[in-house]
Amino acid sequence: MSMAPPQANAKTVQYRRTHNLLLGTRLISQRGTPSPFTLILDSLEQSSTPLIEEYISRAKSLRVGVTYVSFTTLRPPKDVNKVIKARGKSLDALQKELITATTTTTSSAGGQQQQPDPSKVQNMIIIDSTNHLISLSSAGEAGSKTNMSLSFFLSSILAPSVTVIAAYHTDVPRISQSHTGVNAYTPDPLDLLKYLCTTLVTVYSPGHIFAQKRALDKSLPPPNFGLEEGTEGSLASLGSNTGWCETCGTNEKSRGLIYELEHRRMSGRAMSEWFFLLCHAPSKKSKERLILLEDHPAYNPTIELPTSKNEGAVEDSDLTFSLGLTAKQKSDREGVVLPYFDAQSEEGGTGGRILYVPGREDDWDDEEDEI
Amino acid sequence: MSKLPTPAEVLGPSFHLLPQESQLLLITSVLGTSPYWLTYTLLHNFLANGENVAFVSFTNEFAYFREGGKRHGLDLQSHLKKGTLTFIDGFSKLFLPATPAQPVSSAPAPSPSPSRVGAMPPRGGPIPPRGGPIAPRAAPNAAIPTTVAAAAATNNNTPDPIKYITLGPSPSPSAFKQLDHIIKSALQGVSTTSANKPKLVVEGLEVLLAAAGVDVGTVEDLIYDLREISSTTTILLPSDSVLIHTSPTSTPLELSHANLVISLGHTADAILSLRLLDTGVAKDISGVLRVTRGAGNLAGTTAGVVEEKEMLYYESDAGVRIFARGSGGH
Repeated sequence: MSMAPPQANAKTVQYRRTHNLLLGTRLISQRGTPSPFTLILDSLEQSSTPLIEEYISRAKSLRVGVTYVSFTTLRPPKDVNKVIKARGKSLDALQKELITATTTTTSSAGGQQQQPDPSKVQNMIIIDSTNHLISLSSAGEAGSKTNMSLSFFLSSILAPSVTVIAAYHTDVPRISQSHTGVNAYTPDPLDLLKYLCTTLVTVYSPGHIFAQKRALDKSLPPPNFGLEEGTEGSLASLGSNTGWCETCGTNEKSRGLIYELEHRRMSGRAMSEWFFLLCHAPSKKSKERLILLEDHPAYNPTIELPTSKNEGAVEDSDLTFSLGLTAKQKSDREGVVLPYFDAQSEEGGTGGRILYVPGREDDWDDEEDEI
Repeated sequence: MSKLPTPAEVLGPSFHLLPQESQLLLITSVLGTSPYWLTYTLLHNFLANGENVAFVSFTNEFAYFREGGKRHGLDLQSHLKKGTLTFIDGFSKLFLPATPAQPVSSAPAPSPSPSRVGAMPPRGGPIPPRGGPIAPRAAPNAAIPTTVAAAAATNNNTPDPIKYITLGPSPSPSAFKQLDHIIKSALQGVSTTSANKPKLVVEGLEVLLAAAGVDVGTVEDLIYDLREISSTTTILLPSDSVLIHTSPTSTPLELSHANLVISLGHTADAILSLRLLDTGVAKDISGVLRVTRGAGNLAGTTAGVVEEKEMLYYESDAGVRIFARGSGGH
């Protein structure tokens, strides 16, 4: 399951730093280009919980109603408007409850405005374990549960103002219910989910990614973690759910995680990028905790951030004037033609002539001053 | 009296087993590393703090834990008499008929529930019962009061403090509901005597999957229901590679077991896995204890942080000691 982290690519990093990071920030905040269905794949090594909490806290600041569908979670995250216990319920009942929950929250949240803006997300549905949703949809046991398909369920709860964030545990083996009524050509439920989602996120533990990167940098085979670690009887590896930070405490730093994001635009073009959600903002100036994985010094020690080149250096020293240049100063400086360039042109190559164009302020004396 | 490590030594000093939060500790072990010393550690801590504990076992009877506890200086018998400990025996009479007149069936024939019939691959006959030797050991107990089992299901105030779980010779889905009911009523019985929710220790759930043909979803539902009415739930499950590593050709039993262990790992606050020393056998080291943080410890918990660590442990007559790698056994 685990995938080797990408190598740093200095050529494209500048472009991705502006475009992909912006899109990544927008997606996590559900602004601008909303993603109706985000599927988060996690494992015992790295839980999706910190990322989901980030989604919730950003949704909260935009006053988006959050509905949490709990299959396994007894203590849902804070700031959730409504918790729906899905355990023991049929897909039908769950669907009805979810539709009621998302429609009522819309009317209460947008009380003043009659027509809610369809491009703006009003409701966020979080599903804590899609594994259980899949087994619920594929369970045809005893005929009591309807055989509503997973895709129908998801499309029925999705409205223009609703976004679904679903976590799936990749390391939990699925028990296939291969009974007679199932079409042999029906795709695997996980493949179906991956196909349906507009954003696919895979979370990784930073410590594990860095260990794999260090091994790859030395052309060594990357170490495996979790169930593939190869240690008999070991369920989860050390470094699981611990985050990565040199300054924060254990509880704070576990908010950090690395994730790989694939976003499919409406046009069909896809964007794929690796991000690092830090446990705290990298600088005092911005509050943004999301950076490119390549911009993290522990992952890419050679990285030179554009901000640290001029601003950073000046900030550190105690100068009373600015050593940097503004954009206009920079372009003016580039526009200056230096004499030796001029000398190489045809008319300039006439010997040691002094090139001087008298200005208005020059006190010109024809007798004295000769060119 | 021997010495046991404290939960703080195992889980880190900042982590607390809070009375109101439904925490989950998952203890996994392999063949050759007994997880019971960890159970005694927790039981000792719970009972010493005057908390109520319900202990469910599907692989051993009370006498086994009484003797084991005695070796670690833990008097489970007196706690059982006092009522602070409730022992639910899912081992002795699990497959015995509920009525004493009926003869005992020769073997606990697993009868898969209807949903599992289709899941069977053509090569598999009945699921190989891991709890195979149950019948010969359980048979002598048949003469002793099976009526208690029936009584326990209806009345909590029976004189016999041990409650028995009986699914009958051919377990049916309705029998699993009764199982849920027995443990729940036992938990609610102890919780009425104290303001705090009781602690729960469940051992040997794999027997239900392997021998009783219980669906993994039913077991998960049971745990979820029980976690809601108890404070700290401790679940012991084996995690040998053959039981955890699955492939597309794995049998439904292998898949069910791996599914249960890993699903629980995803909701646990801490995963405590015991394994043998990677380098072989040593005379002063019993095995390796690895504690990792689970997702349950990440979200909105006030219980503090589980400290991840890997320690060696040595179990002897003088008790159990845990120590860091390289710090020596003496």
